[in-house]
Amino acid sequence: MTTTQIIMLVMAAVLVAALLFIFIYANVRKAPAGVTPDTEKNPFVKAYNWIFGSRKAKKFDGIFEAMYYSPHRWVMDAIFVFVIFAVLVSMSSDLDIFGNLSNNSAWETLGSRLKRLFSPDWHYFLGNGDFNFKEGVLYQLVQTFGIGFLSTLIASLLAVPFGILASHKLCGKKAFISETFLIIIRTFPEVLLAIVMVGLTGMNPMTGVIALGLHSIGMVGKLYSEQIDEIDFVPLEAIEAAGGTTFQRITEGIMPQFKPGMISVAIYRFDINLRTSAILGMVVGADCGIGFSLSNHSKGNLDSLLGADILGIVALIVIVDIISSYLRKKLV
Amino acid sequence: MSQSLARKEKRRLFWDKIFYGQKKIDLSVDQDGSDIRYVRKRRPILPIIAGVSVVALIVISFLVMNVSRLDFNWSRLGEIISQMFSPYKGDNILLGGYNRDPETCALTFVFDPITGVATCDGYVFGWKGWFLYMWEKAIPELWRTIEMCFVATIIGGLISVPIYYLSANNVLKKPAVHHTVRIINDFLRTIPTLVLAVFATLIFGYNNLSGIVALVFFTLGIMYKLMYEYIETIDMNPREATRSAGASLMQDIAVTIHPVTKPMFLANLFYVFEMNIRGSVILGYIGAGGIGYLIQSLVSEGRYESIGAILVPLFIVVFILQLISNAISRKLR
Repeated sequence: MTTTQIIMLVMAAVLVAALLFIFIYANVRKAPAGVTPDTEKNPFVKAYNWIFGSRKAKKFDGIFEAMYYSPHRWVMDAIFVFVIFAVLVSMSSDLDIFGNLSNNSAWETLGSRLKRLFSPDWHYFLGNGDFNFKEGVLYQLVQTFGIGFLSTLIASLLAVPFGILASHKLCGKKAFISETFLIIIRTFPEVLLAIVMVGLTGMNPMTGVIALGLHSIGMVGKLYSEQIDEIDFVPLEAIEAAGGTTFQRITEGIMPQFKPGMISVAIYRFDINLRTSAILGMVVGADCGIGFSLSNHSKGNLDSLLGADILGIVALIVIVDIISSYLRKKLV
Repeated sequence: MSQSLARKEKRRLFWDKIFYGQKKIDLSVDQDGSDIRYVRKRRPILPIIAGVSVVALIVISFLVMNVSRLDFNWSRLGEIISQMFSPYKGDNILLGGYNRDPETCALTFVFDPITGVATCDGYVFGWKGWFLYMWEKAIPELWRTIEMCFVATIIGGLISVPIYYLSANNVLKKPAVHHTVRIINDFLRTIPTLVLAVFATLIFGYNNLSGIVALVFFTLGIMYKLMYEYIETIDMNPREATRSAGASLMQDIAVTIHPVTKPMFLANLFYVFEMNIRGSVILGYIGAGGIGYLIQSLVSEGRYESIGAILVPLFIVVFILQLISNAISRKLR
């Protein structure tokens, strides 16, 4: 018996003992003088009443009777916390967290590695000196930005019909078709999709654009359907009563109310897509953003180049964050 | 002199037409039939600037992409997909051996009619091999990845509770506190998960622990942002009632704010759990984490049939999680 098995056995025993104690106590306790006793016969219902309170309406004769029959919800909360703690312990032991720690020989060189990491190589950053401009960090940053921007543009434009068809308030029960379709598009992690697309389009930035764009259609479509569930449907009825076609209902009725929501969803998605496109380069190979350089430079002794990459990514994300929060404040 | 004045007039009229428009505010008509009541209005400049900047960004993006090298290689895509779901070519599952063809196998080819598995020197062939790989290697690895994400989500969620209470501006009405906490967390959120994972592998080694640490920071960033935006929209009137009845800060948070945020907290935790599973696929590429490491080693060797065996359970798991998350978010609204 290993230590973890003993711990799990002890926790299970504690849980069983606690449940047994609750069961016995709730059935055995006697009402004090002045309080009408409980007329419930079923022992399980008595235990439930002790923890959560009675399900049927009860009329109490006074304060002391109400306090006697008041529920003790903390019992179930405590059991829940205990169960989650037990699950955490079992999962941590299964994962073997502290297994490889003692073999790690990077502690001695950690200080020098961090020092080299924080002094980036400026020739590599700007793309002059020994480096081609197209291999410099600036060009790759612009490529990363381009991948994120184009994929968000494609996704936010193509997802509008799917989003309109997937809202339950507008289409009723038939929305599940579009919803399921969007879920199927969404389930593929974009990294795996990019791996498969590399065979199709090669080591190109357009691989990232297509893979991210396809994946984003699912996410953006879902957010659009949530936005459409919140708009006012009265103008749509008015247009229908005045004899408008369905297309007119969409363009004149939905679109004006939907546009600010559309732009805010697009900005939110652009933020996330930018972070993902910095990583796609790892999977696609050369010439698809900074990810490839990141994975190349983190193996071995190239820490100043890695520092330049990290500085570039952080700078790009900070600048885009500032601009997008400013834009969002202007919209709302 | 009169010529340049005339030219200046034309230029001014040109710009006037772009930036100023005429708006009719009355339907009344003059005596000789011409419309009166025109008002000169300034056109809003923001859509013009937005349109021009979007077009400029698209042009810049296309300059950087090498679109000329793009060529759709559909045959290669068909090859990859058919390889992903093809019968297994042969792998010593216990020791993780190499790809072997049945023809080059040694003399010990054995077909077991009961289980239907064909082995050769301990290497497994055929569709049974595909399913065996799925059950023996892919699904335990996937389960370990899910465990890692679960642990990271719960620990991250617990740590984020005080952080988001401190960074909402209704709870403690002190701008110094909530601005400081927000700036620190924004800084942590800007650093991509990958960079944090690289740091974690420097410190902790190529371990599951570094993956958990990176995912905890990722969880913190998302949870804190979603929750403090929600808390700022909660009704504060019950809080005034409890305050005037003499409650301390912790007492009225526990009674007025905390029960209201519980359903939102659980829904967001679920969303973050999903995001963590996607992130762990990426983290494995560096060496920290679960299934990404397996996928990376398989891709670099070119063994697409094992990737198919990993994709199918992953797809099913994420699909079920998406359905549950859909149901939860629909119940909340």
